[in-house]
Amino acid sequence: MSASTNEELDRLRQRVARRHHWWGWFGLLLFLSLGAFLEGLHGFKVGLYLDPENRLRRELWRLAHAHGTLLALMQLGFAVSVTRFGSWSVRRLKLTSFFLLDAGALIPVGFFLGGAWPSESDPGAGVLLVPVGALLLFSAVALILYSANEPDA
Amino acid sequence: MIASAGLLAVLLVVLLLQLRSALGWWRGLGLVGGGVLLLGGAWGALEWEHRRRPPPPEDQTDARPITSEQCRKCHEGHYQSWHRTYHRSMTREATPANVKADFNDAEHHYLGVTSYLRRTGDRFYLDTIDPRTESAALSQGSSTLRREFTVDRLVGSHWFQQLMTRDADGRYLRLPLAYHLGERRWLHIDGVFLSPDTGRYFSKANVWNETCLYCHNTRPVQNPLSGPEGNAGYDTEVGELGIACEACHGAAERHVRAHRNPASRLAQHYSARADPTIVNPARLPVARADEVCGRCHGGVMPRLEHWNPLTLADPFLAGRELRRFWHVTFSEAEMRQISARQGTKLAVEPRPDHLDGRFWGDGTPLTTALEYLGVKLSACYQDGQGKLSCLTCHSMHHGDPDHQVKDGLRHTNTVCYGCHEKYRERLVEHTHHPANSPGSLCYNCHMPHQVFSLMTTHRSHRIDVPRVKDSLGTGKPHACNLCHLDKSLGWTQEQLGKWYGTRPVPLSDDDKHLASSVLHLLQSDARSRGVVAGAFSWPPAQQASGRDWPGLLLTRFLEHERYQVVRYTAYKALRSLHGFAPGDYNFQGAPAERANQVRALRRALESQTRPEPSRYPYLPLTRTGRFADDALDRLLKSRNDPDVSVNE
Repeated sequence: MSASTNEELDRLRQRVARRHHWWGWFGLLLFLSLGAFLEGLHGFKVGLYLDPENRLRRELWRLAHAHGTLLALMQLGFAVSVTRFGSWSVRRLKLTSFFLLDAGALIPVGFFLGGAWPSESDPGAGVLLVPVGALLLFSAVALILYSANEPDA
Repeated sequence: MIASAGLLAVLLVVLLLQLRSALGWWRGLGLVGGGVLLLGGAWGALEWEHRRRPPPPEDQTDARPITSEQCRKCHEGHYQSWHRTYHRSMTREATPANVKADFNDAEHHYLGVTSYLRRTGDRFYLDTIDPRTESAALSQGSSTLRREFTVDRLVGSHWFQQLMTRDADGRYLRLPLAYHLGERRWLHIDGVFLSPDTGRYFSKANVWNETCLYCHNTRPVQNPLSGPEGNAGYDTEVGELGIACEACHGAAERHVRAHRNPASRLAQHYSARADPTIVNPARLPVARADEVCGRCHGGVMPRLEHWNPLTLADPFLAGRELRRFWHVTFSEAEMRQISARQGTKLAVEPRPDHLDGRFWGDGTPLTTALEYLGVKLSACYQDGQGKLSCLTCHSMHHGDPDHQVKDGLRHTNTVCYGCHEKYRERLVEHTHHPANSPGSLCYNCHMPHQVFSLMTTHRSHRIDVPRVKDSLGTGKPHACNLCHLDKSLGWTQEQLGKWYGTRPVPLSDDDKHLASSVLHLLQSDARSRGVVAGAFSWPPAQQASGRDWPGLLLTRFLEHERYQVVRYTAYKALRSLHGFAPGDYNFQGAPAERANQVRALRRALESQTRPEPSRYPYLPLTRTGRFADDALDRLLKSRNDPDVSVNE
């Protein structure tokens, strides 16, 4: 690998790390706030969240909160590790970063939208974002695993 | 749905741009295409799995029953709102969770027989005389043979719990004791229904598989067994005990199969079209929707020529035409004639005769479970072509489970104003009663308590103009006189003439000058006596008629009343008027016991109340405020008291 390619990859690793660092903390702020909002709905015994007929909404919003928070932590973990470990190519790194960021948004947003307008038995159509996000997350994790398995560059 | 599709499209574009930046256009496109194919393929696999199963039978009568627990998986809210209802618990197995009756070593005495009710573990038992030696036990007062019946099944959970025991041939037989949930006491079954005393202990021992099965359960199949000597028992099956989802929504197997696929659920959720795989009564035309209720609230008779003679499965399902499988009849005379002609409907429907156990002489239903017929007879119903439907006022999923009236409709004229808007502004002008009084609630005059069953009175569902002529010779007490108990039919006719210009009809002297309630209680048959005795418990009637005289009349009435349930109704009124304790009078007691109790009640009342005769010009009162014995005796002597039964 030439020196210029190595420099380009290092710069990209730095850029990706900064991007995931920022999105990680932003995601934490957003989805912890969602958690606080849900606690507030509990505190004020808001019917649209707690009534038995809104069971599905409660479940989906809790899933949005949990997935959003955990995926934000995952972004931070990726930001910390990407500059230190693994053997990356520019292409693989870009793909992994995009997939991870997309999954971090699609999964919790899908759960939230699915719970916003559910039917009696099923989430609203917004939940269709979740399987797309899940597919991207699986792909990102597979790419990270593949890169981690190779000796450090 | 459009917003979601838009969101998905934006997502794909963003993804494509990201992939282009990493992999270039062609590879990016290939990867997005691959992802779409992967997700689409997963969706298609679901659809294929759903389609490859054999379809449910065309004739939905034979479709596999779907229970409420299966419906619950998707319809939790509807399941919960239905779960509160007494429809659900109409028939239950006799488990500790379902038994509300007192089985704590309770005793019951009737006709000299002592019965014991006890629980051992999770089983419930009735220990009583053996039916085979009933005659000896009753005539000699001895009961050498006793028998312990297992209570296997319960019918009712709102007013009573009736007990069923299962025999070796699959028959569920009604036991002679029932538990009154309001009074919290055991009753002999003779006192639960309006019918003459049988003098037998094992009376009304109906077979559940033949009678209760079809209206108190969902998707019933009788499955009678035949032996060398005729009926050899039953292998009865139900989709579910009690009235569950499929009773109103039809066979649901097709629906369940179709909606296992999330794609079909999602498509249905965003569709404005009715789901073709299930019946929603709210989306049916009025007449067809009301037939769903009419199946059990219409006193129907099976048209067996359209039934499977081997299984006797009820072929009616919600959404089908009721008359195809059941006769809808408007008198017991008609029912008898149809039976005699083996199911052939008559060209001219006979009117109810004077002993009809289901209809007053003018055709108005006089007992419950005929509400559909009452509504059909109403001008407001427009034969199902108008707006009025059972579902206008009632819902299985909303409102008080007590009568399933929708939220916000009780004690209002809201529903009536839906068509009769002009009365909203002219209410007092029309009713001639203060605006906020019971007399200004439409249903108090147009749907009065002229129906008797379950040991009490209920509103008539024949929405009708209260005409005096409809109460002459028909037995049906007049709506006005069920509130104005101290007034005569003549007084009513005079008021209606003054207010509405109604043309008078000829009345007897007694009808003109004596309170209608007095005439009914002392002269009419037991059907009318039950309804009028019930009116004395109604707070608006007590307010309109005065509370100081009915007790004196009702105690005299109790001395002569031979129907147990009418005695119960009259004593209930006495309790509400004067606060007597339930134990002060045993309406099922022996004659001597009751006579003593009535004497005690009269003594207590005569020291308490002394109505002012001038306030009650239509009551036969002496100057001292007592009912005149000679007037009451004269009326009692001409009492019309044939044996009648109200066939609930």
